Amino acid sequence: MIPASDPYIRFEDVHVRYTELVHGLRGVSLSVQAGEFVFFVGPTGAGKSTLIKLLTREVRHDSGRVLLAGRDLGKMRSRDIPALRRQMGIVPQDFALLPRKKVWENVAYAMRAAGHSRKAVRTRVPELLERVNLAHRLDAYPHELSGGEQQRAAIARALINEPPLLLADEPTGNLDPDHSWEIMELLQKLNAKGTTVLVASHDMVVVDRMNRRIVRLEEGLVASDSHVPPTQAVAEEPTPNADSEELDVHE
Amino acid sequence: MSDWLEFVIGEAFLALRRNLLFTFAAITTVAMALFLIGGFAYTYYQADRYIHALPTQLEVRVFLKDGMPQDVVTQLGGSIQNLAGEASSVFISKETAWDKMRADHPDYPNDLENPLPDAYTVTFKSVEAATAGAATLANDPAVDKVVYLKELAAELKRGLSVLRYVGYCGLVLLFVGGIIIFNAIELTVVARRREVRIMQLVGASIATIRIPFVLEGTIHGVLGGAVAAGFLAGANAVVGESVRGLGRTIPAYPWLPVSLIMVAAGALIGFLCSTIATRAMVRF
Repeated sequence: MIPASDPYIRFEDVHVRYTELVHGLRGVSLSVQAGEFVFFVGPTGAGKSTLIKLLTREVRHDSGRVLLAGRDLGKMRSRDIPALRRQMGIVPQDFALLPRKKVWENVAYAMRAAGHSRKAVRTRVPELLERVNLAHRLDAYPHELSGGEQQRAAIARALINEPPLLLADEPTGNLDPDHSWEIMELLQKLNAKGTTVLVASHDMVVVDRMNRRIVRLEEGLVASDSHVPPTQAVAEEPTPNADSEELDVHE
Repeated sequence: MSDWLEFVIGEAFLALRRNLLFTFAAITTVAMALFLIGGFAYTYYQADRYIHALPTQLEVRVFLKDGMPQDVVTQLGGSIQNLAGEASSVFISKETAWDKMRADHPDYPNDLENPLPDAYTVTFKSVEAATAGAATLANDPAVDKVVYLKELAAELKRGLSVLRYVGYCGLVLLFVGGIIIFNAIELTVVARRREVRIMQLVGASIATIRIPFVLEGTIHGVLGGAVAAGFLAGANAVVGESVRGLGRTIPAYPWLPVSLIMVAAGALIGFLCSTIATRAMVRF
């Protein structure tokens, strides 16, 4: 585990202003260790998605610093963004599957676009679909899949680069409770294998049931953080589910 | 590398197929624009060359009526030598002129009848003498036509100025063609926004995302250039045939360099317009 002094992700007094009147973040500071599973929760407009988009560099902060693996994302040049995104898996809320392509073609297309060879595509696509329990639906079109299956296909696509970081923006936003839980279990499995998982969600039923670190955002500020210090987590947490004493850090 | 090339080229052709209407519009507009500009440029080039190849302003060509007896021809030669300010004169028989023309144009059919008349080329010592001499010779009963090249050159130059307007119209059309390619690429980007988004999400390189669109625009331009080159060759053949019917000729059409220039120009327009459109639409 990376020492607490050297977190994998760090937001330092980050401000994001979309317009004069609309603020995304108003001074957020928080750290995430490698291998953590963190939920960003809060009402619409609280800044959950903005935090995720800062890491993917879809949004740039106006002040403060955003560090990923020690790298200042604010100083990153535009041409380096594709390489940054190959280091992370991104799962959007709307699945973003291509409707005219079958499940395996959706994953294969993403792999080809990301620069993988045809040979790699042939071997890895079945593996990835197996990993998300979708191997039996590889020839189905997106409209033939349930919401949960579509989201699993989107997760398979997010894993094409074997990323150490998985970012999911409202991954259960369009799903019923059963499928939501199915997706969360999948994310939990990936996390158990060492992937750092950050999830923006307002689905408090699922979030509470997961019993993971919860960062609550309100009006662009961190209202609370159930962060368990790494030393304590190591001592107390033999299994991925044993954390979540909520600490109020908002003053 | 070959995998990557296959991917970007495949994406470009997929977009061409899915966007048929705009593909057609872009290609035809570029073709029309290049046809006008290319036609203008080619005609202008040939006319300009012709003007520069003309003799000095002191020279007058005197074409005789057909079937004039030898003594009349000789008598006219004597009259020419007596003209005020005459410096020299040369008789060019219709056979000599025809032999020279056939040597210059070996592609002419063998059964073509000699349409050329007997002629004198007269050089004067001054422009004033040439003008007066041309007027005198025009009234001679043995003379069919006098071509005073000063006037011919002036008329050709007037013709060239008209051609310039045609060229301006071509430029306007080329601009319109560029806008259509720009719009076609923009629409393609919009139509393929899901693919673009996915490529951005999974970290596809900027080149991987943009090159298919640039390739698509360049193909629009290349095809437009090729169609324009075809039209130009056809137009040249039609003009050549018409002129031949009047007993005159036009220079041999250099179809290969002209076609290559047209295709290259089309490719350049397509490349530039699609690059600008893609840079505007696909941002990081």
